[in-house]
Amino acid sequence: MSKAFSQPERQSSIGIILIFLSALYKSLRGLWAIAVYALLGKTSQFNYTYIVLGLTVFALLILVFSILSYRNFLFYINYEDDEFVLNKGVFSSENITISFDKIQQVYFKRSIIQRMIGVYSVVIESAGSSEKEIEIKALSEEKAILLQKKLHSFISEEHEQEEPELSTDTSLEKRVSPTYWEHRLTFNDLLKLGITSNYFRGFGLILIFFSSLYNQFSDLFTENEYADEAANYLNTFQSVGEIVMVLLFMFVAVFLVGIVVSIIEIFIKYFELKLTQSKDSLELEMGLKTNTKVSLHPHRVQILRLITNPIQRKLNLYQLQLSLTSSTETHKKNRINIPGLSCEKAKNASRFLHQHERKEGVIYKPHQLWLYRRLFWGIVPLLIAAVVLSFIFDDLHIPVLSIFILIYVVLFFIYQRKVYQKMQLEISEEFLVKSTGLWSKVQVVIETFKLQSISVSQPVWLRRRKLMNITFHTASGDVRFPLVSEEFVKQVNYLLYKIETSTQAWM
Amino acid sequence: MATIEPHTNFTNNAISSQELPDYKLEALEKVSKRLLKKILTGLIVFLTLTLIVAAILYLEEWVKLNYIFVGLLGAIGLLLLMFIYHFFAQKNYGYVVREKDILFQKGVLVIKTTIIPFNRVQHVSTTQSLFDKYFKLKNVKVFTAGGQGSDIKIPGLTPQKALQIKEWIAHKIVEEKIDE
Repeated sequence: MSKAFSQPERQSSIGIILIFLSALYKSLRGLWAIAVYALLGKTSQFNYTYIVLGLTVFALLILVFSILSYRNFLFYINYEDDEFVLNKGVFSSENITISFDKIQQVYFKRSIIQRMIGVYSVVIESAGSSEKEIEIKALSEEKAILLQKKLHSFISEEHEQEEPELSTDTSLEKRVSPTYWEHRLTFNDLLKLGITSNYFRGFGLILIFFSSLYNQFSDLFTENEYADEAANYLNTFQSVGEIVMVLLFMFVAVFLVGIVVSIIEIFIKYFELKLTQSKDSLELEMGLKTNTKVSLHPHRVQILRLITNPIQRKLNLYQLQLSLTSSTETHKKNRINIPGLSCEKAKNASRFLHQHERKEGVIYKPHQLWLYRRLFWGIVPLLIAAVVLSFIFDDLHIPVLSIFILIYVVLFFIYQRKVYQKMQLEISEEFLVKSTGLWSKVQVVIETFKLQSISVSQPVWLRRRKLMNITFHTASGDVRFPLVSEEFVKQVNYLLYKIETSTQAWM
Repeated sequence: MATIEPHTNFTNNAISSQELPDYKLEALEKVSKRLLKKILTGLIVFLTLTLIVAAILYLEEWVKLNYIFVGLLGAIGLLLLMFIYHFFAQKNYGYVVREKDILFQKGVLVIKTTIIPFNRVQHVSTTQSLFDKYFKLKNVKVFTAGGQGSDIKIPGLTPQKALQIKEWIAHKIVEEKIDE
């Protein structure tokens, strides 16, 4: 193969127009306030020739900038080190190198202006967020296709090398011989799920619905009318008892509507859910309105969450939530929920998705400070508010109020203590498992070799206590764990060791 | 691809990890002292611009002198705070390039240490702003496939050092590929 692009090259010279237009657009967008002022303000005082002159100078400066930007934008393929290199920048400069095996995809993009001047945008995409990709904005068709071909040939070479390795890899793993199975949600299952799901979501949906409705119709009512009506309405009730009854009734009504909304939502989302395991992937199909079809390959799953609540556990309903790397072909949302799995099926699925068996590990808990903080923020502001209110309003029943507050404090304390007790991080040989939640229990499972990097942060006020917060970064989101002791450093070392010695493809 | 576990002294639990290199014990390399000069220059340029604007406002009598004075005091106070912040930020920057990973530390009130293993690096780039050029400084950015929090940007490096780090990582990426 010829060594095309081995010398630093510029974009098509016609691309200067593109750079010029986009720079002009950007700077004008930044200066629109001044422009409006100049046009609408005391224009009579200005001499139009000055304005025209100013604009011309401005445009010329941008033109010079565009030419420099064009001249400094240089890219080439370094055949020795197998990498693509890009230099750019006028005032500031940037040098990017991306090695071939990290390139995920090379594709074209065209805006109207690019169409008009007959150039292509070539986008070189690597794993990670979209802002990390490289874009060459103005290449002639011929060059664009050549560059894409060139880079694609390297990518496919890389993949060819990988494939046989992958197959040996699977044979090496002592994976339990795949038990083929299927999971379907029947009408009954959906109903059960709806009834036992989190109603707060339902409440939230109602709230969103009504607030949008209110926004739409708020023009029809003036606020005064509303307030008057409400006041009149409240006046019709004589005793406190009646008001309590009405509130209770409203609460029950909202609760029921919440349940109904949750059920409907679940029916729409998971209608005819079907999960089938084939030899090397799990196929998922679901949805009433939009039919989702995904095949879940183990290497794409970065984080696995197992979610359940006490009622659902009694009914043997577990939910799997999988965070995937955003695939190059579909830039869709990369979190997939599979509800209504039985314990055994959930285990089967995670066994399939994970390369290793889970073993017992070392358990870490956050420092008690975590609980104290929670208690502080949940109680102290409320107490202060109560004291302030009792000073402002004389007719407040202080004994009644203090009883309510006392009950709240006791319940809050018990609740938070339980939450604290449930919170833990387990590190075993191949896994990182974070468990949280009192009612709705969430277990977050990450395979250690799928970690991208680890951050340890220590606020100065925690230095004396030797506590730190840990963030585990994966290709589909971060998982944090707060307030661990400095003991944890050795686990960080261990995890780094695990990542650095891992030769498995994490994606 | 090699088997899953090439070493034998890590057979079982995390307790055996005491023999592992400890990132906490590494001596951090500091960034160039010129970074502080750069920050100071930036702040002085900003102060000069503020003074010019204040002078114009005064000479053209668009704003009362009292207000200009208050505004200036506020601006100078802000600059002072910014200087204190940047002073400590600059002091706390530190990095270590190890055999298999790169470690970067930053922060004023919260000290954040991020460690990126080389076999998880997506790409490396160097950047240089206008001020950086004047003070002969460069930044190295290391990108992973994780979110923004997982990437690092080491500021205030000498160009040689920046190039050295970049080459080292690129070399490590290639080496790792051959190993496989």
